[in-house]
Amino acid sequence: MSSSAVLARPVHRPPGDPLLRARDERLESLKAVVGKLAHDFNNFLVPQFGYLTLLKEEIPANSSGAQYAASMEATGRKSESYIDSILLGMRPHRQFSPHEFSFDRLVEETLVQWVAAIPNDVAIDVAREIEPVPFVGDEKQWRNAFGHLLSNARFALATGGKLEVRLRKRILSSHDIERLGLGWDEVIQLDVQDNGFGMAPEIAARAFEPFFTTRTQIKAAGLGLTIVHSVAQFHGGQVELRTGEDAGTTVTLWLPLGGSAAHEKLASVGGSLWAAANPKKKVLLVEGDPLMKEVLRSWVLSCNLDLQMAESSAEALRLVQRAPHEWVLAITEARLNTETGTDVQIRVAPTIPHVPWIFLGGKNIPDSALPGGETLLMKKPFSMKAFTEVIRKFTP
Amino acid sequence: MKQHILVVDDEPPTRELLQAYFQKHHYEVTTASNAEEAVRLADGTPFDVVILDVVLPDRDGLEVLQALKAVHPNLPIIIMTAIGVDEELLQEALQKGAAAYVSKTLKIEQLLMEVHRTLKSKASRA
Repeated sequence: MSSSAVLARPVHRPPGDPLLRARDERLESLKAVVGKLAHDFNNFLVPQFGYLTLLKEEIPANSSGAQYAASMEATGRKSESYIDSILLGMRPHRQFSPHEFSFDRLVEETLVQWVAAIPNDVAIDVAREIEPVPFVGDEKQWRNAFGHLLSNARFALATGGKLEVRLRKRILSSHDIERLGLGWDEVIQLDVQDNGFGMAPEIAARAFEPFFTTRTQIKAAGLGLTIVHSVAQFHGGQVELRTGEDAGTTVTLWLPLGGSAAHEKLASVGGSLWAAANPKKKVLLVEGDPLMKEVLRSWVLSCNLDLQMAESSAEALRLVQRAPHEWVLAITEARLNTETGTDVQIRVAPTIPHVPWIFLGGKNIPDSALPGGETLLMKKPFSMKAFTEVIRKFTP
Repeated sequence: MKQHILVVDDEPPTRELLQAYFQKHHYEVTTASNAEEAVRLADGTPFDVVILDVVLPDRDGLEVLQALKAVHPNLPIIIMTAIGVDEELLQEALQKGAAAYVSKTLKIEQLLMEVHRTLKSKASRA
């Protein structure tokens, strides 16, 4: 991919300041719950739109029935749009369309629109210090997020005041990297600072929570800062709020220079061409327990491997018979519903003789239960760290 | 002869909708509400295309995809998801042999177009 965006150097990612970490963990829990609800609600809308489409095909175009159907669809679309906003704040990966864009132009254009909407009788002084910053990420998500920052500032400056916007490249000190828990030292820093009425500490502590708002009189869903937090984190960055009552508010975002995290995602979104050129190594898992499958799937995927699952030796054999050379590891439960791991290995291993095996078993599985060859027994319970270390060892 | 679609989705309203819609557009439609039923039906019937929900009650939709492709490598399978365009799922689905990946929030007319496109692509390869 050709790009004028200069990428940040990756550095070892520290855990970050305990308070910031606690905030982010709490937000992730909240977002998971809200995201699930919004996702389920979204699912309910899908058949409604479909049946409306069928209905519109069957009734005369100019009938009152067609008008009712159109009104129902319009109302449904409003609900869909609201859920989309919620899901952007909870699951930004859901609709991620990255490309290279000029972050400075985005900031400049949004700011111009914001200034144009200020009524004549409100005096707001706007200062800006904006460096050219090419960036790879989801431009639509950033327009939305930056728009929310300006909307919040406008509320804080209801009676007028000063807004300062700074966008610049920076090299963070090791102390800042440590505190923010970032994986880069070269960053883009965006500050949106107003000298408005600010927030009390108890308000500031909850400002990034979904649906938390102090604006009860006007249409405000309390999603703005949640969206900012999600979009920043999804692009590999961090966000911080500094405020106090009558002391103004500054929201600062740090993003990897050039949008490194987004570059990685862009490569993976390249789709089938990218996937065909860089096939992942295949790992077989023979497992019957749905919970184990769910957990092990995410652990194996985190090792950048392609996990394919079977529930029996017959199913496993069918899988490995397609391109046997692509398999690098086989994992099986020592005891499945109707057969043992050894049964699976005896049936499948001749097709993939080059592949090492891992048996998963409880404490009651003796080491002597293992067949010969390059085989390892992992006794439950085991941690993600222990499991992924073994996987990496077997799949160099 | 009508082309035959297997719709696999555990949500009755979605399943019934897709059945009604595609039948209206001159397809033969069979439905399955879980993975086991889908695999069994596919083993006994020469479907032209499968529309497969990624979340099923008994097995992960991507597992069903790979199980179906292992037995019927030329059967086009359209993966359908309610979670929008998740690039990791998309990549995984394509790697496992999905013909296409669509969001449930897509308009149903667009899903029909995707089925047309997939069947056309299958015919050109035959």
